[in-house]
Amino acid sequence: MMNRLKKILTLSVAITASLFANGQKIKTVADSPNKFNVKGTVTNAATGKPIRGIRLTYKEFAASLTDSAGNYSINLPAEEAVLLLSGDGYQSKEVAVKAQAVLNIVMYDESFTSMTDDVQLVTGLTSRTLTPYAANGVQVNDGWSRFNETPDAYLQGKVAGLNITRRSGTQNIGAAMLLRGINSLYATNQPLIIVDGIIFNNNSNGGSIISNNYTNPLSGIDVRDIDNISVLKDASTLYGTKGANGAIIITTIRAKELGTKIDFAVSGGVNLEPKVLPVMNAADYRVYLSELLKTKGMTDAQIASQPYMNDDKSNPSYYAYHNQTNWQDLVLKQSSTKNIYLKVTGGDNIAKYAISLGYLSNGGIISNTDLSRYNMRFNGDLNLSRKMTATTNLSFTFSEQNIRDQGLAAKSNPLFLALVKAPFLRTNDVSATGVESPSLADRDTLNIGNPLAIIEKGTGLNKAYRFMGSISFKYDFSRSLSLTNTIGIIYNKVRESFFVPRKGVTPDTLSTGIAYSRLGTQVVSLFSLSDDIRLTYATHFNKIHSFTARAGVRYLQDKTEQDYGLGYNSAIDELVSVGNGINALRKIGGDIGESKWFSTYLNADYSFKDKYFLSANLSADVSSRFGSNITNSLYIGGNNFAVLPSIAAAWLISSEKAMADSKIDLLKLRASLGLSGNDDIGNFTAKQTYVPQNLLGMQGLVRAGIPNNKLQWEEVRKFNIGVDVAVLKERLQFSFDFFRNTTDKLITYEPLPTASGFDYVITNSGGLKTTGVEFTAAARLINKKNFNWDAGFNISTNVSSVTKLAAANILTSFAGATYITQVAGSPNEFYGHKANGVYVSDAVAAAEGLSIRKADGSLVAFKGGDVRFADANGDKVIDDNDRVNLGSATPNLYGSFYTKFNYKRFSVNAFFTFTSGNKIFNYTRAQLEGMSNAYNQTDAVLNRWKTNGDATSIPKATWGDPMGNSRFSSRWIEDGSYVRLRSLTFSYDLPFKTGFFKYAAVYATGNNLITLTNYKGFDPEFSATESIFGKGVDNTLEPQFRSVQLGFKVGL
Amino acid sequence: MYKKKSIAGIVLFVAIALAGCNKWKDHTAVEQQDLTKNLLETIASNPSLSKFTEYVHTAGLDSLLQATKTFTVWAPTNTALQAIDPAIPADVNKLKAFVLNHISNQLYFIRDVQAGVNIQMLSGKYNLFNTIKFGEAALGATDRYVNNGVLHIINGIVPPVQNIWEFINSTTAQYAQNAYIVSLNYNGFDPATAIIDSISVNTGLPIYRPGTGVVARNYFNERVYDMKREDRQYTYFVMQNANFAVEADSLKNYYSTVSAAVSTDSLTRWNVVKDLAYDVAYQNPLAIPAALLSRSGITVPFNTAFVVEVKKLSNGYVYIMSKMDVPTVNKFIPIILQGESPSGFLSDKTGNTNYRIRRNPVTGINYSDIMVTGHGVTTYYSFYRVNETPSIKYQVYASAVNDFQGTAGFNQTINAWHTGLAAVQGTLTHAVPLFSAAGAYNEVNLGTITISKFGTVDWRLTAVTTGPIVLDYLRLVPLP
Repeated sequence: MMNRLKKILTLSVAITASLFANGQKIKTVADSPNKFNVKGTVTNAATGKPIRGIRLTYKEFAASLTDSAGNYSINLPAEEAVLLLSGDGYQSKEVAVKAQAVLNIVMYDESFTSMTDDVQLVTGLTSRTLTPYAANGVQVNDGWSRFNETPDAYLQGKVAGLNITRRSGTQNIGAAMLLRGINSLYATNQPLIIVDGIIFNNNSNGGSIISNNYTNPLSGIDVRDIDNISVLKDASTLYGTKGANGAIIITTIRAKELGTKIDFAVSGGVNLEPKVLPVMNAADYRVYLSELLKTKGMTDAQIASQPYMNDDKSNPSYYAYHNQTNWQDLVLKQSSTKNIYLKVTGGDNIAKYAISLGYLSNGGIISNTDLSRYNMRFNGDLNLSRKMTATTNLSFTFSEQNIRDQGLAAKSNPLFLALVKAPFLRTNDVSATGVESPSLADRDTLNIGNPLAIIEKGTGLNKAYRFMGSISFKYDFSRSLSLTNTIGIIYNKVRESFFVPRKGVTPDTLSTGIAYSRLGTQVVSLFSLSDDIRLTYATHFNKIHSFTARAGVRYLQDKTEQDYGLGYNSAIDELVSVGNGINALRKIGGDIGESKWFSTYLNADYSFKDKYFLSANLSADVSSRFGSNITNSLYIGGNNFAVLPSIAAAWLISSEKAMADSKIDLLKLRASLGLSGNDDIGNFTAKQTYVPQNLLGMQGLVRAGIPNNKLQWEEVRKFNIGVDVAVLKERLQFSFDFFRNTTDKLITYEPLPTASGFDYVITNSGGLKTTGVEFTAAARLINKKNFNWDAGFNISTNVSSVTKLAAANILTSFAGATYITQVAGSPNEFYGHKANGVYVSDAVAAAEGLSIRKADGSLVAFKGGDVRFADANGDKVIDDNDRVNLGSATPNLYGSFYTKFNYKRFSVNAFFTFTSGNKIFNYTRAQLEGMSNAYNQTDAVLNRWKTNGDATSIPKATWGDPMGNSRFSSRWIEDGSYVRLRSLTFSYDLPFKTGFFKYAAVYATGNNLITLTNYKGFDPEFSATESIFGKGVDNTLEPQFRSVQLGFKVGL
Repeated sequence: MYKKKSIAGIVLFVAIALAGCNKWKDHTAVEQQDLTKNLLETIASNPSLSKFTEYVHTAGLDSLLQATKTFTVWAPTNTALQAIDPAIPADVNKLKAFVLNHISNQLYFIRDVQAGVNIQMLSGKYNLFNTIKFGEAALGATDRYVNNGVLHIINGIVPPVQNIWEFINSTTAQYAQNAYIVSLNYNGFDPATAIIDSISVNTGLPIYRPGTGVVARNYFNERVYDMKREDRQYTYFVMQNANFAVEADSLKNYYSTVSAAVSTDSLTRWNVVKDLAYDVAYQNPLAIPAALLSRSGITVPFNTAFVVEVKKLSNGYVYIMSKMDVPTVNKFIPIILQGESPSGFLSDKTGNTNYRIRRNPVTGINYSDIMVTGHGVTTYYSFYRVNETPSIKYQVYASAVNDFQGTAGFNQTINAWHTGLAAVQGTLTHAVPLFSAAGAYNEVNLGTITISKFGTVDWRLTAVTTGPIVLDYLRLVPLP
C-alpha cells in the first residue's frame, strides 16, 4: 500500500512543480511600473476628523501612509485594484479603487463588525471578501467575559447556520453542534474541528460511566486562548471524507507585535440555583397517594395503616413521615466561580511567543459538584533562517470534576429523585420523639432513594489530562514556492470513578444479582498523530491576476482505548473503590479503536482584478475504515479512494468600475458546488469481527455481524449560493445564503431475514437531503464620537428529508419516546399517539367506543377519566397502528441577535439566542404527571379527573396505568421555542494617566439571565445523546442556570 | 426616535417575560374552585348542614376533616337531623360515634358504587352505599369533591347500630341462649400483643412479661362465626328461653358423660347454639330457605311462622324465634373414617404398612386404603379416633377387599375403645371378601355398636391373631 501512496505523492509533486515552472515564466513578463495614481483623505467615521498614520497597501506592489491631514497618495499598477487600509485602533478595511483618481475613505473603530474580517480557511488566513466560499470568521474578543464557557458553547448564536445546543448545565459538558442541519442518520453530524492546523478528535471515545455525562475534549481549550474561530460551511472538500459536516477552524493566540504584552484577568461570581419545578407539597401529595393506593387494590384499612397516614404524634414513626421537605432546594444549590488568567505575548524578530496560564474553579448547581481546571499554552513563532520559519503550539490542560448521575438513572440521578421523592419524608433519620440523627435516612417505604445519599455519600469524579502539541516548519524556496510540514500529537487521558452507596439508594437488579451499592472506574485514552505536508505556489502576473496552487498529503492515525471496571456491593459504604465489590458480580470491559487515514489534496485559487474569484479543489482519501471492495470508486493497488472534487466562484460586483458612484459599498455573489465525505462509519464495521459470548457457562467467540466489504464513506454533495451586501458606508450589512446538502450512500441498518441469524447489516443504502437558508444582518445604528450603538441578528432555517431507505421506515426509541424515519419525511420525527383531552364521563367514553387490547387479546374499553386518544385507523382499538407524526426536534428557525452600546469608557453588550418550532418530549413531566406510581407529581395533577362530569385536561390517577394514559403521546410533546438573554456584559475602562498599565477594565457579566419559553421543564435547551435519535428528549438533565460574574482585567 | 423605539422594545420584552412566567401557573392552576377548600370548610359553608357542622365541632372531629388524607362524608341535612335520638347529642362519645358513622376513608363517588358497596365508616361500622341510598338515608346532592375528599348530602340519618356480638352481650338477661354464649368467654394469649422480657437461654424461646398478651376470646366466635367482625354479614337465630330449654333437653340422652350428669347441660346447649349462626345476611324471613345447612353440616329446618322479631344490626340480622325445632335425627350425621388416615397403631410397623391406591373394577374409580400384612404382632390394630362422640348407637359399615391374598378371604375385627371408660364398647367381625367374589367391592353391614357415654372413642381395626388388616373406610351411621 505504501508503494502506491508514494506513487500518488510523486505524481502530485510533479504536477505542482510544473505549475511552478510556468509561474516563473509569466512573472518575469508581467513586471511593469505602477502608473495609476490615487489620492484622497482618510477620515474617522464617527468624528469626521482626518486620521494620521493609516497604512495603505496593494499586495506587495504598492504602499503609502496618511499624513497629519489624513491625506494619502499611492501609485497602483492597475486602475482596478483593492487597497488594504489598517491602523492602530481602527478596523482594517478593503477598498476597491474602481478607476477613481480621488478616493476618500472613512474608517471605523476596532469594535466595528466588517465584511472584510478575516477568515481562516483550510488554505490559510484570508479576508472574507476575497473568498468564494460560505465561511464566517468569529473574532473572539469577548472571550474574557465568557471564560467559563467551552468553545463549542461559546459559538452558540455566533454564526448563521451553526445550531449549537448545550448538552446540559453541567460545567464543561459542551454542546452538540449541527452545522447546516442533519447530513447523516448514524454517522456523526458534528463538524470537523481543526485547532491550529491539527485535526482535533472531538469524540468522547467510549463514553462515560457516569450517566449522561460527556467528557468534552473541547473543554481543554480556554476561550481566551482563542484568537479566531472560522466556520467553513461549504469549503471543506480539502478535508476529504472528514469534511461532510463542514469545519470549524480554531486559531489560538499568537504574538502580534514584538513588545511584551501582559494581560491579567481575575474574576469571581455566583451560579444561581435554577427555579424549581412546582411539585406537590406534603398535604396534596398525601391526598394523591391515598387515592392512588386505592386503585392499586389496597383496602381502606390497609391504606390507613400506612405509616404516613398515621397522624398520632405518639406513633414512633410520626416524625419520620410528617414533614414538609423541599427536596429540590436541597439538591439544587447556588455555587461560586473564581478564575485567574495570565497571558504574556512578545518576543523579538527571531522568536515570538504567546504564553497563557489559567485556573478556573467553577461550582455546579447540583450540590457537591464542581470543576477545577488548570490550563497552560505556549505558542511560538520562530524565524530559523531567512527561508525557514517554524511555529509551535503546545497546550496542556488538567481538569478535575465532581459530578453525579443525570438523565435516565431513576435510582441515582439526584435531581430526578428530588423531584419524585415524597415531600412528607425527611432527609435524616429521626427518633420517635422527633430528635434528628446526623445519619441520612435510608430509602423510604415507597422504595424511593434519598437524593442526599447520592449527593453526600456518593461520588463521581472525572479527571482529564489533555496534551496537544504541534510543530510546523515552512521553507520558502522562493517568493512564490514554499513547503510546509505540520506534525501534531494529541494525547488525552480521562479517568473516571463513581460510587453509589448502599444506604439511602434503591437497589438495582443485575442479570445475576442485586446491586445494593455500585462502584466503578474507567480510563479512556486517546493518542492521535497527524502530519500534513503541503507545497504552496503563489504568484501574481500582470499585477492583476493572482494564482495560488497547493498540493499536499495528510496522514492521521487515531488510537483510543477504554477500560472500565464495575463493582457491586462493597461491604460498607466507606469502601468506595471498585476493588471492594463482590468478586462474582464484578464486570470488566473496554473498547479499542484504531483508524488510519491518508488524504491527498490539490487546490488552485485564481482571482482576476480582485473581483472575479475561482477556486477548484480535489481530494483523494484512503482510510482503514473503508471496505475492500467498493463499487465505482477509484481503485489503486488494493485501496479504494474517495475522490472528492469541488469548485467555487465569486463575483465582487461592487468592485466593477461601473459601480464607482454606487451607494452600494459591497456586493458580492458566491456559488460553490462540491463533494465531501463522512468516514464515521465505524472503525471495524467493514471487517469481520468476533465478540465473546457466554452460553450455559461456556465461553466462546461468535461473529459480531455480517461484514460489508462494500462499506464506504457517506458522500455529501454540497451546493451553496450566497450574496453579501454592505450599504450606507458599510453601516448596514447583509448576507444571504441558500444551500442544499444531498447525502448519498447514507449508512443505514438494513434489516435481514431471520434465517441469517442477524437482525441487520450496515450498508450504504440510504439518502438524505437538507435544504436551508441563512440570513445575517449587522448595523451600526448610531456612530458618534462618544457613543455608538451596534445591533444585528442572524437567522437560519433548514429542512431535512430522507430520500432513500433500505426499509419502509426506521423506528427507534429513547426514554420511552419513539422516533420515525421514513422516506419523504424528516429524520427522527416523534411518533406517538395523539391525545385529545380526557373523557368527561363513562357515558362519553362508551359513546366513542374505543378500547385497548390486552396481551391476552381481550379488549378493555376506555372509561371516564381516561385520555381520549385519536383512533387514526378507525378500528376502534388504540394500538401502535394509531401512532402519528408528532413533530420534530429540529427547529424551524434558530439564530441570535445582539445589541452593543459604547458610551465613552462604558459599554453594554447584550447577546440573545433563540430557537423556534422545535418539539420536545418532556420525559420529566411525563414522570411528574403520569400518575401511575408513588412519584411526587406537579401541582397540575390536583386537577386530576375524579368522577363523572369532571371537565379537566388531567386524567385520573391509576396505579400502574393499565389504560396507558401516560404513554408516549402528544400530552408530553411541547414546543421548545425560546428566546434567551445568553449574555449581558457591562464593562468600564478605568482611566489611567501613567504608562505602567496599558489598560484596566472592570466588568460584570450575566449568563442566561432571562429565558422566555413556554416549555414546562427546567430549561428547553439540552441534548441527551450524540445520536440524532435522542434529540429533544428532556430526560432530567442538570439544567442551564443563570450566573453572574464580576471581573477585573489589566494590561501591562 | 431611538428612545421611543427602545422603550417600545422594553415594554414588549417585559410583556413577553411576564407571559413566559405564567406557563406553569396556567398549567397548574386549580380548575375546580372547590379544590382550594377542605371538607370542614365546605360543610361549614353550607347553611343546610349547620347542625352537622355543630356536631362535628362538638365531637372534636374538626381537625380530622381538615387533615390531608381523603375522606368521604355523608352529611345529613338539618331537617334530617331533627330525627336524631336526643340521647346522642347529649353524650359526646355517642355523638362522636354518630358523626364518625357518616365519614369514611378514601373517595366514594356515585360512579364507584353502581352495584352498591358496603363501606366501613370511621366508627368501625359498615354502611351500604349505592346510587340511591346511604344506609337507610336517601341521597341529596352528591359527588361534591374538595381537596381532601368528597361530600354527599343525605336526607336522613344513619346512627351507628349494634353488631350481633354487642346484641348478644346486651341481652344475656333476656335470652338464656345469649347468656350461655357469653359464658363461653375465656382469656387467651396473643404473643403479638405480649411484651417480651427476655429470651430463654435454655430453650431460645421468648419469655413474656406476666399479665401481658391476654386477650378476651369466646369459643362461639372461634368455632362458629366471629360475631365481632364488622366486615362480614351474618344471620343469628335466638330462641326464646322456653324453646331453648326444650331443644337442649332433647339432646340430653346423647351427652351423658363418664363422670356425672351435671356437665351435660353445657354440652347440650353447645350442640344447640352451634347450628344457629350463618354467614349469610338474610334480610327477611322470606329470603331464608326451608332448610339451612349449618357450619357443622347439620340441616336446620326453618319455619317463618316461628319468627317473633327481625333485628337489623350492623353486621347482619338477628331473628328472635319462638321455636327452632331441629329434629334429633338431623343433629347426628354419619361419620366416615378413611382407612388410609389412621390416628395411630398398636406398634410401629411402618415397614409392613401400605397406603395404597386401588382401582375399583366395578365403578372404575380409584380409592385409597390401608393394608398391613406380615406384621407378626398378635391382634395388631390401627385406630381411628373420634372426639366428642355422643352416647348413641352406631350402625357400622365397612368397605375393604382382599386383593393381596390370592387364596381366600380372611377375617378382621372392628371394635370401639372408649378412652374415658378405658373399655371396649363392642366388637364386630368383618369377613373381608376376596376381590373376585361377587359383590366384593360393596359396603358390608357389620352390625351395631352402642357408645354408652359421651367422650373420645378409638375405632380399632384389629387383626385376627397375626393376620392382615385392610380397610377402605368405615361408615358409622348414628341411630338416635
